[in-house]
Amino acid sequence: MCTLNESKRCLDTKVASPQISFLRHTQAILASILFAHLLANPLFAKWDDIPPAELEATECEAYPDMAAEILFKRQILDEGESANRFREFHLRLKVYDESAIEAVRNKRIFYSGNSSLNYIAARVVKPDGSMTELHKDDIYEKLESKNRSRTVYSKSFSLPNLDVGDILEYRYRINSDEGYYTPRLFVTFQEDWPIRRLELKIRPYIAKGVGFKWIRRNHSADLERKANGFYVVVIENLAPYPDEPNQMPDRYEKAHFQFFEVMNMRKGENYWKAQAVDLYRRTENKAKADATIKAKAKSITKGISAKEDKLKAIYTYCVTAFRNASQSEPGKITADERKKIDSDSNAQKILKSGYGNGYNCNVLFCALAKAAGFDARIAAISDRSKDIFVQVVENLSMSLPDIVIAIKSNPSDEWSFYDPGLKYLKFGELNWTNQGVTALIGDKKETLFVKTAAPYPKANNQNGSAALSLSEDGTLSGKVKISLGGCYNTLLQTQLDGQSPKNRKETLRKELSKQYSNATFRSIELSNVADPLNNIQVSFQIEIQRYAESVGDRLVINPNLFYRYDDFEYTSEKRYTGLYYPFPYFYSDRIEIALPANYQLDQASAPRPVKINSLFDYNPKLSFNKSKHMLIYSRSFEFEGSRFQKEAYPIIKRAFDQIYQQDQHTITIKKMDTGVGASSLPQSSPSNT
Amino acid sequence: MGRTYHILLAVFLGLAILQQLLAKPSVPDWVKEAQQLESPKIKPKDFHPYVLLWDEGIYKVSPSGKIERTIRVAYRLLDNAGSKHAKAYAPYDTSYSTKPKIKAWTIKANGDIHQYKRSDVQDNASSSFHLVNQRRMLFVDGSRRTFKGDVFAYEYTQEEDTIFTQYYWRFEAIRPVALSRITIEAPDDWSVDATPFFDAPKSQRDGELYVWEMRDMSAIKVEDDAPSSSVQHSHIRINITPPSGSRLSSRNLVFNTWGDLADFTADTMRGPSKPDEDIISKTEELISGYDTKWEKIQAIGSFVQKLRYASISLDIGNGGGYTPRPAAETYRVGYGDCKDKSILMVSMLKTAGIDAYAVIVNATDNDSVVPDWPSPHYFNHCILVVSLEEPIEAPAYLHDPDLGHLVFIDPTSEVTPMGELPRKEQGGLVIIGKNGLDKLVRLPSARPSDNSEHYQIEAEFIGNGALIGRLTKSLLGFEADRERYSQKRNSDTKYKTAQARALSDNNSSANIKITAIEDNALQDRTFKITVDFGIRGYGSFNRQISANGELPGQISFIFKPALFSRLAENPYTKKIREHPLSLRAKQISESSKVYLPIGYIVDEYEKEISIETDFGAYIATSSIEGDTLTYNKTFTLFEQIVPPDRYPELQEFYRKVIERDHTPILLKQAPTPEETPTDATASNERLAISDFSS
Repeated sequence: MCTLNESKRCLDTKVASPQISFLRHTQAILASILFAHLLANPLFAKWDDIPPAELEATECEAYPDMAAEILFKRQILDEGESANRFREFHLRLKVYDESAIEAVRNKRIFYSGNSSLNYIAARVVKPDGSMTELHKDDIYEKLESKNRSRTVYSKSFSLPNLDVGDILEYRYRINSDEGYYTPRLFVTFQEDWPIRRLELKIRPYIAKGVGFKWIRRNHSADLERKANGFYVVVIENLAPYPDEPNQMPDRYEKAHFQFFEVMNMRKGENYWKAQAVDLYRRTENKAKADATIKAKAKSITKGISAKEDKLKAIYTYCVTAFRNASQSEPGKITADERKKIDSDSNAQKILKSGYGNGYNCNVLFCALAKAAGFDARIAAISDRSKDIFVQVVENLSMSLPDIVIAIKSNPSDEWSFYDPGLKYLKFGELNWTNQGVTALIGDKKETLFVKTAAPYPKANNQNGSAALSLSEDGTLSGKVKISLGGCYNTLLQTQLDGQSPKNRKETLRKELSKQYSNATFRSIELSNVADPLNNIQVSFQIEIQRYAESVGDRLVINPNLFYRYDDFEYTSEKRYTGLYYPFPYFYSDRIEIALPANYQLDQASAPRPVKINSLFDYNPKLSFNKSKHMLIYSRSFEFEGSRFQKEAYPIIKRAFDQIYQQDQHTITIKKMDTGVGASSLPQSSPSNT
Repeated sequence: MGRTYHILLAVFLGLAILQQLLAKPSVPDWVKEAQQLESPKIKPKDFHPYVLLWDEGIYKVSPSGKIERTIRVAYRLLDNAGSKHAKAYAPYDTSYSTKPKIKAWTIKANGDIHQYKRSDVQDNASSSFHLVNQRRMLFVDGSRRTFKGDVFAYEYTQEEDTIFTQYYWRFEAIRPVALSRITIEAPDDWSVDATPFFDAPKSQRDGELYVWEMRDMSAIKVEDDAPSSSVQHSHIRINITPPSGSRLSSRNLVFNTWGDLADFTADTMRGPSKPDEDIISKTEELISGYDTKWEKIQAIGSFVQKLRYASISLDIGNGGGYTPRPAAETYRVGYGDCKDKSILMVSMLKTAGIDAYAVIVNATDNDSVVPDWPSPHYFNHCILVVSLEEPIEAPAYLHDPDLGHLVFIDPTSEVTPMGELPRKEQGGLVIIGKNGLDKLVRLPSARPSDNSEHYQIEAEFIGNGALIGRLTKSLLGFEADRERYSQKRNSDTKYKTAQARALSDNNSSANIKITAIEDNALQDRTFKITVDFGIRGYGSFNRQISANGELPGQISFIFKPALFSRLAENPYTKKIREHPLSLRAKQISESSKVYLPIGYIVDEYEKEISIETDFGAYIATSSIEGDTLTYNKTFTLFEQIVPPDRYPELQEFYRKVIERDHTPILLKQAPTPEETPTDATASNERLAISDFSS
């Protein structure tokens, strides 16, 4: 839910001048010293009376299982006056459960060297109304960190005698020094616990010649503009927003206001059209196909006739020959070269240097593609790991923060997108964050919003195969091969490419040991790790002693080596927030297990499939190859992972639970009587593999 | 004249600045020397992304007692994975040290030198654990410039002024070391006494200089559960003391005997433990109505335990780390650190007429103390000991020949009942803060039955192999402490979710409903959780291959009788063990009564499984009468230090226990199939064996 409520034009707005008269400055300093002195003494902290009902409460009415409830929260953000910017915070919280005490009993407030924390007051109120106030001697100040660009201080205190049933209350104020302001405000206000009453008061910074806009998201309360430039809102009974597994990015779901500075006075369609023109100009200026570029393009595409193949050759050049500093290639770019990288470079300079960041790589790709006759343009694109694109957020770097290259294909006139700046993306792939999202393509006339291809499960795949044998004591051993595709491959190549071959094996061995704690591994091999053109392949020998459980003459075995040790996904019956999966995926496995020669199938059934249309398709199969005396287990799992409202949680939980249960499926084999050989295996056991 | 002078001065200064700008960066001689060193030996199969070429400390003691400390370190990167270790750290504490002056360099494999600038230095507070402290750390990050083949080197110098006189130097490290050296320069009349441990060398003295040096050392292997005294790394411990009779000798702390440390502890704690009127009044309120000494101790202890932990760590260099805040102050604010809480409890106990003393311990390593070398630096925690007239039945009880009946109490641990000690403290050597007590005392260790988890279950199979029933999990000792901690730190919902996960471990998708939680900390010290549970598909029906190999055959039913206490993972999977292993006492047991599916009888099961070694014992018995299975299991580990050559035996013991703990029971259809219940028949339907039947 997202609404642009207001956009403020401010060319004529009165702007506080950085030139403040000495007198005014002195007055401000004296006033703040006096104010700080008065307020630092707890004797001067004035507290509101707390209603008896709040003192007596033993649980949150709306959410009885919550460990605490915020009775009152007030946030004041004043960025308006350059001489008197401040942030004030006031919180009153009722503790219902011991666990909340651990979270709140110590408070550390951080503030930068450009600001001062000159007022803190806190108290603990017992259910009988008696109160203990924080004494100023019990507040500790500390220099947290200091480097060339930033100094951070903190003040901390522990709340006195805090216990279950108490109300704690604190407030503080941070004053910012002149000239230090935040051009973007992301004002989030939901907490782990429900909030009974929230007051927000915000005055954003307004600089001369620029404006600001604000939007509200994921809630319905509007800000009201007051005469003094403040925007205020009161919200009652806000739901909790606790940490939960597979949670959506904050901006998708968490209630917030966004304030952002705008340099461009255009709005709506006009705004985006102007951005498209800017991107077009950038393409023309920075990705110009001059003689040098053309010559390079010609040499890259020499002997290639098909257009698609030419583009692929240029892409291959960019991901293999270009030294990309944005990828983790330690040592391949020197520190001095890194310093010289300039995102404003044009394609000619980039080609000459042969290195740069991911953006430089994309600009070079764009220029080379143009030189090869393609209509190639720079496009700004949304990042769905952070936010959903909405046109009302009229700020290019917030809404469409990434840059890719759009190429128009003839004759369909459709646009396709490329991002060789991320060097492990294969030709035609986009990073998962840019799949199924909106891109704005540079154009001098039109506002070209185009949606990139949506992700689909089979593109992001993991394929496993294992040729194993089971011994009479239940030990399972053999060779395992795993290959990855799509996002899985890109993520792993990016993670491993900076490591040495030995270190990569160590990394893999550690990961495998986490999954199979009782196993030993040999002959670990990884191929194509730093190969931008091919996917990673992994293989290793595994041995797990007593993998099968024995009882008398029987062995009980779970043939699903890959997932039998997995934990099930969700244990909580309740869910407060939605679910989010970065991308859909597809797993496909085939496991062959040669059984001990003198054992025969005793009890055997197959695990069941689990299917929910358009969401889950889990399909395990188990068969027996009589001639090879071998169990063959295959499993495919396709999950249309996306985002889901919290109401879908029970369905998803149940499906994952069922899959977990089927992944634990076992069969039994039994030692044959003396004199009975493999040839007397049950005749009806089909050798259908 | 004046003008000419100014011009000349400006030219001179300009040239000097120009020279500075044009000068190529250089490194000190020690870095050049470090670069020339061969990389130290690396054991076959070991992977080290970097090695330590140079690790040096130079301590210059001035007659005033101040010590100028210089640390020099150089790494050589053998792999790009080592880049993240190319970082310089210079810790300091503002209570007794100046801010270090730090320099750092990356020397590329081709000889190029990069010297880090002052602006590259970050100055950070070193810990957010304390509400406030004075510890800080300078930090230079060389990870973006230092890669395989490069050398990263740094040095820093600081001046320290502290009342402590003991120093420690470790020659070996977790990475191979080419050279490690410590040099102490002290005035002639000062004494420098060093005790070498393991292969550490004796000093070479050259006038006022004392030097200890070792070269070409392999990496120390870090292994879980290794007693620290057994990890044999070469180190020295040094006493640097001023001449007797000097002004400094009265200020500096010298611990020649454990009695010195006991006296120091007693003297430091005495003042702060004096009760004020508020403490007296609160103590009277707490003990009113209680007759026995133990009841009074429990009442006071429970109150102090509930006070919140918050550490205010100031003036460490002058003994601040050993000096509690006044008990009255801790009582007023309602929070404190270990020594604050211990002294408040000592104060209250004394008010109640009960003798108690502060005790200094190591809370994280019960094997840290070297008995031959008295020092306060082994200890990082404060508890207390209470004098009793008669023995009590509790794991924290000890009879000491000099002090009589004692019980140790750790009021900082909010989850350890009176009468017990946190596990990591058990068995450690400690100092009791009593004047004249010149000895270390060993804390008692719990028996296996004191650290136990017991599962009591009554359950029955229904439908498609689902198991429903009631479980009471009863915990004692550190297992109970862990549960209390989890309950305190998590909201009710989160705690119950975590319980469900823990109880579902190895059981597919259990539904758990907690019906009761009982904390008997002040009674039998148990923590009990009662749950109603349902586990879908706990037992599974399978179609047996019939005698002639045709499908369908008879239906069988398989399940594991160890329901909730099944051991899943062998904690000892590493192939090779270099150091001894500390095995802690523990007991896991399960007693269950399970009603079997109607219409099924036993096909195969093991009546008794018994494994006995001197590491521990496992015994499981199953008996089936009619439709009821009675199952009892006890797995016990005995407290001991396992030598490395017996590690394979321990692995094998665990492996066998896990294997046998998963032993299933097989049932088969009773001979009268017409009596098979409807739900089992329904289960036949779902046994459509996809590929088997094709």
